[in-house]
Amino acid sequence: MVWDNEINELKQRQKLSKNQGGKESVSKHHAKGRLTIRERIDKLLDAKTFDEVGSGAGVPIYDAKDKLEDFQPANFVLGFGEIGSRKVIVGGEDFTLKGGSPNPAGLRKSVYAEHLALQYKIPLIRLHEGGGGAVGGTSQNKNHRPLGEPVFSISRFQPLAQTLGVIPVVTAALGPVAGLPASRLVASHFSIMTKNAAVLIAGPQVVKRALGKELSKEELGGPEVHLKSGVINNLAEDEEDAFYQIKRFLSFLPDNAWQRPKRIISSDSPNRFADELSSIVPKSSRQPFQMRKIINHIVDLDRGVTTFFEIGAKFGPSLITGLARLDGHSVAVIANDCMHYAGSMTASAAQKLRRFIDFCNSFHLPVISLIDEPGFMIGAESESEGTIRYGTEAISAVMQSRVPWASVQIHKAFGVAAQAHFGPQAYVLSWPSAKSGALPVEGGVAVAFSREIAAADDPAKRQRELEEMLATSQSPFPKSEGFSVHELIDPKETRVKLVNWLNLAVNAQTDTPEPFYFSMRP
Amino acid sequence: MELDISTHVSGQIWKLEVSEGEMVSKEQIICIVECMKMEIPIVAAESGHLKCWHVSEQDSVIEGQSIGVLVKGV
Repeated sequence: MVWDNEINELKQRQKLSKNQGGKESVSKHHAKGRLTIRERIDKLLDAKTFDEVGSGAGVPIYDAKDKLEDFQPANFVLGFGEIGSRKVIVGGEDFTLKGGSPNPAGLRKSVYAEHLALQYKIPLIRLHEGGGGAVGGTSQNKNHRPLGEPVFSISRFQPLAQTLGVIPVVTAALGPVAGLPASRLVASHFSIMTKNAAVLIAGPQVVKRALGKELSKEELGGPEVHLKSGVINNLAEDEEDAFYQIKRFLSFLPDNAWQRPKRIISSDSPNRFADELSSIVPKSSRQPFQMRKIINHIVDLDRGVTTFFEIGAKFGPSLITGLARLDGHSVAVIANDCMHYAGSMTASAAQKLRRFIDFCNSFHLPVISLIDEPGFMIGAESESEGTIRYGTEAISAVMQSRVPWASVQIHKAFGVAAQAHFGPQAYVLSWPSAKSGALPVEGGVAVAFSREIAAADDPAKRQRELEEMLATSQSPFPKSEGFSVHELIDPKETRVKLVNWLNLAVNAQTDTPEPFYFSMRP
Repeated sequence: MELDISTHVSGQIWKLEVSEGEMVSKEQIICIVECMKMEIPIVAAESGHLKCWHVSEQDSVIEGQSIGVLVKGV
């Protein structure tokens, strides 16, 4: 054949590039309980669907007779693939080569991942493990001066910023991730880390030199730190679990912002009543209840298992956020968790809400809001965290929202923070256990009637009387009488009511889906 | 095996529901923390017995604070 020699060299190069960092480096990596990037991609994607891009990028090494001896590939593997027969782009650093710190071809390919996703408008998955650039630049030739990018080049952070508005981006930290990869890690809609991963701006040595503090990688950026900091949304038991959660997350989303999420056929009955809901909220407002149980009674069950997929449980834990199916439609769920600060809105819960609502608007996810909001968190700590600003920012995000919105008043809905739970033109249902007003009676009465209480013969008795009197006004019945709610319902009917509403709301969407943009917020 | 009991909320210890040395079963409420006028239960992570409390009723506690030790097993 005419091109035999060239085709043979091509095949040899491809074979050599699959050796990654070499046998020794790969077995060292395996010994740490981690998969290589190629193994990760294979496990994540449907079998045999990886369609690599740039497999030939790297540096060939020739022997004295000019015969190809070795090939050092780019240490970022990139390509197309399928998840559940749906096209995605996947990429990740090869830790077995230079610890994932980019070599020149690796850097080019890693930066290109976002360009590719923007061009083909399909979800992007980045599996991160590795450090950022070295002080001397990414060039392997130490005599080369680092020249930097030309002035006319587009910053690599520009496509990184653009992706979030138009395509779903999912990232995983599957080992140590520092510097640029750490920044790329958080530039996503959903981030996950394994137990033995760490996410760092700079590692222990740099921290010791700069700050004189000796801290381990785990202390600086292990799961304990970053699930609470909000840098990482979910913890994965192991890499398999990380891939499973990535697939789950993506299953709720469209390919891009110009599409709506696809409805699937639900095996759960739209007419299922949940009797248990009618007694789940205790009469005493001091007694907490399990909001997650309520969510699971309302959303679709898939062969008896809830379709609710929680995102970011440890960050701003007084607010629960997640995705689920309702009569086969993808929906976003927000709900207060009274087990944490009575469900009140802290600065971190507000940031979590703002970010989640922007995500829902970007991918056209209807919102189901289950309300037990006592108000903004109070006290010195809350004030110094700037809760009022983040809270008002979250409310603004909710007010700018353009997706169908249903709000169910489960229990409390007090103060300004309550407004964060009702989107524009929300369909409002109320349970008999609902209470609403400017302030909870317990605190509000003492403030508003302080003189009257102080002047009474028996101040404690007078306060109780006033509290009882005002508690009546916070009941859901006057709200129903005044048509301040669409329907006051028996809690067991919640699922049926929401399913009916959702089908109407989805049917009424006549506008063409497009990316969501918004103006400045508080 | 000794297990650390910690509180996932800040607040005030309202009730210690079990005494030192007492047997507990998994998921049993062993302590109640009052936070924002709500009674938040702390449950036993495993069955066993309560070795000791590090706190008393009315003490203020912060999120993540160790409040006692549980010994797993019978």
